[in-house]
Amino acid sequence: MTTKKNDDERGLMAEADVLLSELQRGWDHRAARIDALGAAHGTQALRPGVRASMSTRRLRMVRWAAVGAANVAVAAAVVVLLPRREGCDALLMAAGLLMAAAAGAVALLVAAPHWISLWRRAPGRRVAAPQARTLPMGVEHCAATFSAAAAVLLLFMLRSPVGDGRGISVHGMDRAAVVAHVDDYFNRYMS
Amino acid sequence: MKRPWIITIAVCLLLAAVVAVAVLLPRTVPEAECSDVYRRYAGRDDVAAGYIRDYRINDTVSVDVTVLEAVTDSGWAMMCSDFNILPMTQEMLDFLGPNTVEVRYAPKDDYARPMDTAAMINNDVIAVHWIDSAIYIFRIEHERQFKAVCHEQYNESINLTTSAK
Repeated sequence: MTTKKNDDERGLMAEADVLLSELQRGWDHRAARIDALGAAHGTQALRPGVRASMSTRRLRMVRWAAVGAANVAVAAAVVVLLPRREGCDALLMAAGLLMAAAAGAVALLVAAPHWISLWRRAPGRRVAAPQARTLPMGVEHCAATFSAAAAVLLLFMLRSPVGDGRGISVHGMDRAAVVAHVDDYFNRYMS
Repeated sequence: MKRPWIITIAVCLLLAAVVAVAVLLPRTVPEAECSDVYRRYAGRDDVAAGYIRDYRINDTVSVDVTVLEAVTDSGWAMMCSDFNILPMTQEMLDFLGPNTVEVRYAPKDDYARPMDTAAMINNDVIAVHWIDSAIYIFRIEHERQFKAVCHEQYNESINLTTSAK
């Protein structure tokens, strides 16, 4: 019984090895054709691993640019709108949520290839190119982590009481004058 | 490999700057969350109004403050009428000096009425600054706020929280 099972496993492994070898041959063949095309157009031929790595890096940079743009947009919105508009609590809340959503999306984008490669990993796998898809701690991880941290900070700040007299509304009077009035009350008249 | 880290550090600095700006800049309180008295005067031309949420008096006590400052004589007359403030003669003001502030207490729902003597924290503290034609209204929610706002003028014999018998 055990012998039959071992035979089956051996047969499956052999079949998988054959398939992987075919895949590797196909990969090498296509890589050679791409190199030939590159050489015909005067560009330097690249090995498959290097090309895959460059492609991954480009993808990472695109994702990174998206996060950066989102963060810059949020930062600009916060800086421009914060001191000028009423109801900026809601705006800040929206900004925090946007940053959190951006961070979550990027984290998912970054993590997905890693999970897929883990899921696809099989014993005796020898195809080299997909290894470049596994991303350890990269720029996106950092960006996602810090975006999330900033979003959490913003949300925490908004949910906690102001507590320092910076929440001010004015009509016909500037903020400094309002605070100066109350400071005077405590420092001059009540001391 | 250097460039991504430089970019990462730059973004971290940017985020830190954004958070710092958000933390340090004063925030505008939405009008719906301001005091009733602020909202009543905020639309007028003859009175300048300000509302501070959680003005920090000391390490443990904060209080909401509404500041009303008359821009015109008619505005000051209206404020005196609304808060039931008796006018003071110039001689009296000269005698008291420029730093004089009158502190009074009035029920939270109607500042023109006499103070609620049953418990002092049923009242808000109203400070009248005659020279500046300004009124400061301190929203009192608990005993510590009352003591902090009134400072040395607080009299220990006043019944703060329990009903007088």
